[in-house]
Amino acid sequence: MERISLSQLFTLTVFFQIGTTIIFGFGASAGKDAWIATIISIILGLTAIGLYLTLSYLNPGLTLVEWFPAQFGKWIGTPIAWLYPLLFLYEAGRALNDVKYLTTSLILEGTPYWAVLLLFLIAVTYIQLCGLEVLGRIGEIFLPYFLFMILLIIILLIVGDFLKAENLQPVLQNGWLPILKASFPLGASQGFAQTLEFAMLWTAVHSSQKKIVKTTCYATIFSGIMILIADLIMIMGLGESFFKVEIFPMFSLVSKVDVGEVIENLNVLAVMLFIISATFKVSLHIYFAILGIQLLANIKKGRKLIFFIFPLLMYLGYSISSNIQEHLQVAFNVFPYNLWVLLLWVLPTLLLVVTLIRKVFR
Amino acid sequence: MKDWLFPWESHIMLTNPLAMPVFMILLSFLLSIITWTRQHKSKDKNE
Repeated sequence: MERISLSQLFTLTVFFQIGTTIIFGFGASAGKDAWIATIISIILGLTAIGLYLTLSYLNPGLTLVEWFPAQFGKWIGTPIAWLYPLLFLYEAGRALNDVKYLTTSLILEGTPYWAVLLLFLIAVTYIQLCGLEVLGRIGEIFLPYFLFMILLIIILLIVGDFLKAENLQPVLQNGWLPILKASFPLGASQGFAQTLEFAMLWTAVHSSQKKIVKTTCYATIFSGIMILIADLIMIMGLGESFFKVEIFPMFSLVSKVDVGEVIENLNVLAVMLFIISATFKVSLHIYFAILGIQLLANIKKGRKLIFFIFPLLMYLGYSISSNIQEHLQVAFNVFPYNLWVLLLWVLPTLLLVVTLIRKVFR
Repeated sequence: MKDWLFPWESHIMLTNPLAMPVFMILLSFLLSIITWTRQHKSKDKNE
């Protein structure tokens, strides 16, 4: 049984929650009030994570895909449990599409999609074969560099006088409605409620339940602050109209950095941030999917499933969307409503109610 | 009908948002047969 430490849980949770949001702009539909939407999303996300940790406490030693059969019985619980590995695979496909569009439009123009997907998936497949402990250790190594790059970007933007606080004003110009729409279900689900996937991992953490709860909550607050800072600098640096319209606002912002005509063309920093966090996000989606399939199908050696999932992910990376506009439209307007609300909010809440009722009547 | 065969594609998600959840529910029931069968076999082995 693979085991990870609390610090590895912290780093993996942070990378997972930051994911691809750092380059796309969190809560962009709320415009200059996106930072308020981020704060509300963090609070809602912490509530969701509290729900999942409570479920973990009430189902000791069981992973996410084991909760449903344990509480609903095998005839209803098993089909519900299978929904989650399918969701994780679809989300991995979506993250691969993010990588595909970003790399081919910003840094490797003209490179065929299959080449980008193939190389990325080879790296991710190797990580899967190495296992969770290796992924955790890679997280511990990369996190300081990741934070250093963010800090460097902020310092250079401040030194170059690109950040204008007046771009945040007037606050609440369009009222609360756009902020609330950006916060739920998209904001609260993206990264935060998605942490439900870590319910596949909490049993592998070599520590007490209390420390796992603390670490997960601290990691959520930490990644929330990172996303908040990213949103603030993007709004202050680009202004509301560009922040809302730009597909990759962080990339556009970092491209502007020009300190004394010496320090410039720092786009590569934004791309590196994205590639690092996307690698962890895709790797974790795939790891959780494989683990879920292994447990549900009663397979002894789950790692070899990656060789079956590899061609499936190549296909999903190609077929999920044909252009970035379509991809983003689904991400903002369809996917949170038709899948996330059901799988990240409704079903876990229902499961908690049933679990508590069963506990009371036992 | 063709839309319901590839519901993960973005253009189908945009025109038929219910296709993907329905597809996933149907697929999960089919995959559950694997779980039920393998659980049954492992119970028989233990007996």
